[in-house]
Amino acid sequence: MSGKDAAARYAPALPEDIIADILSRVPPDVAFLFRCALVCKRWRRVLADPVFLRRLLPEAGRSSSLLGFLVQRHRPSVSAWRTVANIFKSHVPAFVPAPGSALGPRRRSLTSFVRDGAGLLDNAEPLMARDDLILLRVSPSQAAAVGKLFSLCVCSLLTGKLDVLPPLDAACFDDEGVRGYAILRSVNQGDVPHRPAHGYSNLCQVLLIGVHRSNRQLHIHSFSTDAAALQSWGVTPANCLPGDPVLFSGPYGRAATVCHDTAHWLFGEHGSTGPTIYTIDVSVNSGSVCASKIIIVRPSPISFVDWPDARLSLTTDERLSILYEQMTHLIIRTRQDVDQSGTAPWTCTQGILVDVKELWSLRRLRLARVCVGEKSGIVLVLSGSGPNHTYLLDLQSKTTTKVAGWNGSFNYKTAVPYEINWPELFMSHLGVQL
Amino acid sequence: MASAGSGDEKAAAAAMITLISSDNEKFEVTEATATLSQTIRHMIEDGCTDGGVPLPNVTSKILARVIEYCKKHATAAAGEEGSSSSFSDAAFLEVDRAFLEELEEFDDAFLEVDRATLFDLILAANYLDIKGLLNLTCQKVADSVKGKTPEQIREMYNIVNDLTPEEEAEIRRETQWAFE
Repeated sequence: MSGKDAAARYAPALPEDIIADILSRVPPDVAFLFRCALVCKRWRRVLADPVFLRRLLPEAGRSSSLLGFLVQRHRPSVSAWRTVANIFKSHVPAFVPAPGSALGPRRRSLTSFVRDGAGLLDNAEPLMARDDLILLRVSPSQAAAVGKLFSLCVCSLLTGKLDVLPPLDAACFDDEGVRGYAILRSVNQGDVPHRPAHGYSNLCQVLLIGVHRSNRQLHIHSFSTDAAALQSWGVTPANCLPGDPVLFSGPYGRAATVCHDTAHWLFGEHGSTGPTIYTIDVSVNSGSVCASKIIIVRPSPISFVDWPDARLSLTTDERLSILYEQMTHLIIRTRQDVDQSGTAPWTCTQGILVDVKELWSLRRLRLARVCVGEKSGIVLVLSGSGPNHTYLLDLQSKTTTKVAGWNGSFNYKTAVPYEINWPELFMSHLGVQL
Repeated sequence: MASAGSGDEKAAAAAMITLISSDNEKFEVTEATATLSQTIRHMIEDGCTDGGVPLPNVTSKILARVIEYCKKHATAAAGEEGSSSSFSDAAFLEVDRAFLEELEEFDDAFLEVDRATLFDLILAANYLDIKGLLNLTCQKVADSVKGKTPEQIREMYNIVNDLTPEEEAEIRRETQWAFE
């Protein structure tokens, strides 16, 4: 009796700094910590406290960490689909966590994070993620669209909300349709991490780039979700391509690299003297569109660069850079400030040995796809030989980690890196609205 | 230098401090034991320990346990210092390991308390600023909540759930994925 009484004795309330001390000793498992917010108000307050969360953040000093990749499953054949459909009711993009992801090793469906009452994410294709926002293409059957209509939606892990953009009539584009896309956090919200007074929102600007069917010039369609009056797409015809537009190809990497208010895509011109590489720069603030030639200083004469495999990226100090493979190395060239001759050379700032013997045996490092987590400085390297040769390359530590989370049902070629300042995730869900 | 140091230690060990619990029980401890508490160390340095140190936040039951901890760890610390001058490196490491093992056993046994007492010990360690004891007790709680549900955690430590049903539903809705 007395023992039971002692056990049932009311435990004294601990001060919040002690609760923080205790919770910081639990192995980092974000799902568990989220559940701990349900213990009582004190615990919830501790878990929504930015100071506490920064202390937990394993990647101290980085503004965001790579949580993982959004991927679509392979589209099964019609007959296989009938079988699969009985097992999986929906075909929603999955979230494959990066090794050491703050969200733990579990694969989850995107609908675990985002409310999707209308089933819009069913068969949706993840296109690009920036800040907390994810841009997806709604599957044509879901959008009930016909012909050339292109339907997009935007969702966020911070808000848990899904917004549908009005469909775009893409008939003006050539047969390749929409070639590239960009999503930018609306400028008036400032830089992330942001914590707007009115709460988190999906406000953003979306750019789509393609080539016009008749005049072969670039065409840019833009949409801003915060302009209440403007509920349709705006068009900017861009007469910016130097030379013969027929010789242009690209963009190499459909998702734009966004630096401040400007979206950049990589295009190539295949002239008689070999390819010339350009960035197409679109500023959402000024609406200006221009093409900038990439000037590579002292190119190695023996080097062959497979430009369609090259990708634009940002360095951690927000400089535009280009990544490409050369033998067993990943080369990073960074755009320098404009020099006295008025040009901005792209100099080689890093050459990283991709230290994977499995890939060396393929004689050449076939980067079938590189996707770059810009804020975390982590590159996903997918070799051409399949999902079993998927690696993460950390540009800071130059270490390579094999990604084991893929399996046959995921189309790894659709991978979109998702980076987030994950303390924001806690604060957005536990902090402000209660 | 070594002999002067140990002479000081003997002098310090001889000095006794009286601690007074919230229920007015008096505990005589050596200064070496008492100064594991940074709070008491500062009081000694400020010379305000004459007539005993009242600790209105600590009951006699908890204070007895805290003193038990401090005595053991103060002895261990003194033992390590004493041994460093009189043993060879290998022998020192041997003694060191034996000390650590003994201390670990002591700590494990020390933590065999009910959960309310554990929380009381945390509060006392926090108030008295005894880093080792705070680490030990907080780690014990962290280990015990690991992987538990919120309901289990509340039950284990008799924590009152002061979230309204609406707030609870809101958190569950917002963090649905964490419960899958």
